[in-house]
Amino acid sequence: MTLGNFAFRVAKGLFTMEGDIKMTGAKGIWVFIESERDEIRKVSLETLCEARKLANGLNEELCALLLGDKVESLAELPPHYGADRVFLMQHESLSYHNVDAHLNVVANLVKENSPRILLFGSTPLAKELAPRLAAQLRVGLVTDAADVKIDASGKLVVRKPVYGGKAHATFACAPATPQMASVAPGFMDVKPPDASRKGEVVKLALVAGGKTNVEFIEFIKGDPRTVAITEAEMIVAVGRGLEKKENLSLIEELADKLGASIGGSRVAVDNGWVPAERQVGMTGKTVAPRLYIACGISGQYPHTVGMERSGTVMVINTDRNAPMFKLADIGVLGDVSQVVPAISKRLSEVIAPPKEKAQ
Amino acid sequence: MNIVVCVKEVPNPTFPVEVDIQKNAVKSEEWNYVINPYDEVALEEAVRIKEKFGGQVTVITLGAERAGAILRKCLCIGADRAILIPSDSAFAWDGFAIANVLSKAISRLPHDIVLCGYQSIDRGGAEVGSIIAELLGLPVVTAVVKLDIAPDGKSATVCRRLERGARAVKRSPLPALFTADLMLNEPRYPTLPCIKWALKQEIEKLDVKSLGVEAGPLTEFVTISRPPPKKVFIPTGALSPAERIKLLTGGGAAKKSSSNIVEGAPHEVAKKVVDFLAEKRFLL
Ligand SMILES: Cc1cc2nc3c(=O)[nH]c(=O)nc-3n(C[C@H](O)[C@H](O)[C@H](O)COP(=O)(O)OP(=O)(O)OC[C@H]3O[C@@H](n4cnc5c(N)ncnc54)[C@H](O)[C@@H]3O)c2cc1C
Ligand SMILES: Nc1ncnc2c1ncn2[C@@H]1O[C@H](COP(=O)(O)O)[C@@H](O)[C@H]1O
Repeated sequence: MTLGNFAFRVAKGLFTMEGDIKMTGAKGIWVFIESERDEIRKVSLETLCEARKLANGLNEELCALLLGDKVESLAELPPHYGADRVFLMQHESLSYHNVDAHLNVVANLVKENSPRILLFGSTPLAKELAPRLAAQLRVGLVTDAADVKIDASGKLVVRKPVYGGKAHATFACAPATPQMASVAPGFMDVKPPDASRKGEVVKLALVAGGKTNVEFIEFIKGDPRTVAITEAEMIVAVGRGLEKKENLSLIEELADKLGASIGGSRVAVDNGWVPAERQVGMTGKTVAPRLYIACGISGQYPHTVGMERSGTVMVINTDRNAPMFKLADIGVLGDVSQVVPAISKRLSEVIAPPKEKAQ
Repeated sequence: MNIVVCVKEVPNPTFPVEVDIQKNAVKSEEWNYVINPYDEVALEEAVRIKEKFGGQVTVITLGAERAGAILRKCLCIGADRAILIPSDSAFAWDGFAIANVLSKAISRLPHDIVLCGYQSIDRGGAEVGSIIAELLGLPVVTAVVKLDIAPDGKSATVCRRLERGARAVKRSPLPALFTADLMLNEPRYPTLPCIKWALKQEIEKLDVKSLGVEAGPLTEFVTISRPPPKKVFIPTGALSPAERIKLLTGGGAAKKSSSNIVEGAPHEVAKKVVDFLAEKRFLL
């Protein structure tokens, strides 16, 4: 595998603060930032916030690596979450699906700057990028971390689920730098952003393109109605509180408006409202969508164990004491058959025609 | 079309995993072992390609002597050659060390396609395939749910699983390495006569030392532990005793901001809910 082909220079531009990006010895913590729909991905923020703690412990700089096709508008955000510096590289060859281009760029940046630690959020891109980079650089990598620490000798120590989550194992990276880990989504907290925090944005230019082995042909959007529930981005889940099968059309309408998939509790499956492969819980599927809306689900443990890693949870229930409310970011005390159509109606007022949801 | 499939034996996932804190290991006496489910899918795909294009399928594993059993099963499913690189199966081998040895072995075999599983269900690094590809200088696409070889056998068009049901279609020249997602196919079962036949088959052995591997692992195993307890929610008097017991015995549920409860006329509630969804950027 040849590396060459790439050269970097610090470009002058809007945010540019020219500076020497070379550091002596292996120093600093880098976080590879990914964005989606003009937003930094949550797992990148989770990683960044965790990396801030490591950087504080080491008293070293925290750098965010922001590469991509159109990412310039996001460059001020990483400092709000703790980054001291942002390496920004915007180039059309750095599209999400071009792993080879990302690999070449990151490998070269690492060689020029010798960071001590390099962290990724565990995403489809990072799943290919991180192992290849680690192999190329001959450095240790632990994937899908639940926890990252630095031990007294300066080694990156990473705990991760093994045996399908039935145990956790801890590994330490060899001293070769950068020590690498990818962070599994949902294990670390995102601190509220501090908009007053500013960082230096170092704009890098991609001078020459590298060879790409794998050609990207097409992106195919998932269809929320047919996608496996474990892959769904948003889930509207129903329970006994749906009361009757006819009410399912109300749920379908809401799911359609949001671009969400439909799931259910065991009761919903037993009643034939939702197919068995869409059951959430202990004997069903474990899901972690960005949004989980529980409609008439009481929130018993065999159900919640399957959805507790969801991002935002909304609960609609007539019983104020339903345990499901304990998991809610927003709770609605009300009847599913009345609240759900009202939300759908409101949604059609706010969002005119349903917009394309692209990656 | 010559295909090499990397297969790994993993503990049967239906068996319980018990951590022995004193020994800093899992109790494995009662386990039995199976082919890593992703690797079974990879092998099935290899056999289908062979059935269409001809050629040879070689399965290779780095593992305990015991792993001969899963290699025999691979012969039943349609592999032509099975190679065992004997080693202790402890955590001493990390993804890099495994991939390093496998890549050396693969480089000695004819290969138009190398297939791995997307991940192993025990250690679950989802990394060995990509590392092998990097070490061999092969193009790689992981989490493949569809694999079509061009009629001329020179390239493959693959569908990669992304998040939320999305897919990326990519094309790669061959030779290349792909890792199989469970959705790629439905593996066949070996037949009983075949299992009997396979018992008598030779498993080739390859000594790690003969491969001239110079680099060792780049991560070291430190400890294994039970999964950390879930964030415990302290039940209040608002719950029935039965629910409290359920929550306590079940580990409890994490407590969030249950104070954010809206109620009232449906259209007013709906307005608040939609504002909330908009603020959290779910309506893009
Ligand atoms: C071994 C085992 C495994 C299990 N596995 C699973 C599993 O995988 N998944 C799973 O879900 N369950 C599972 N269960 C069952 C679980 O214990 C619960 O029985 C089940 O989750 C309850 O489903 P529910 O919340 O839909 O119904 P209920 O518990 O009956 O709750 C209905 C809720 O709807 C509310 N409600 C009623 N009417 C309305 C209305 N009109 N509008 C709004 N709210 C209303 C009620 O206040 C109540 O909170 C399992 C149980 C066991 C023993
Ligand atoms: N010891 C091994 N022997 C052969 N193949 C392996 C071994 N470990 C991992 N693999 C292959 O690499 C894939 C990914 O493994 P992992 O990176 O551990 O998740 C597996 O599905 C196998 O195809």
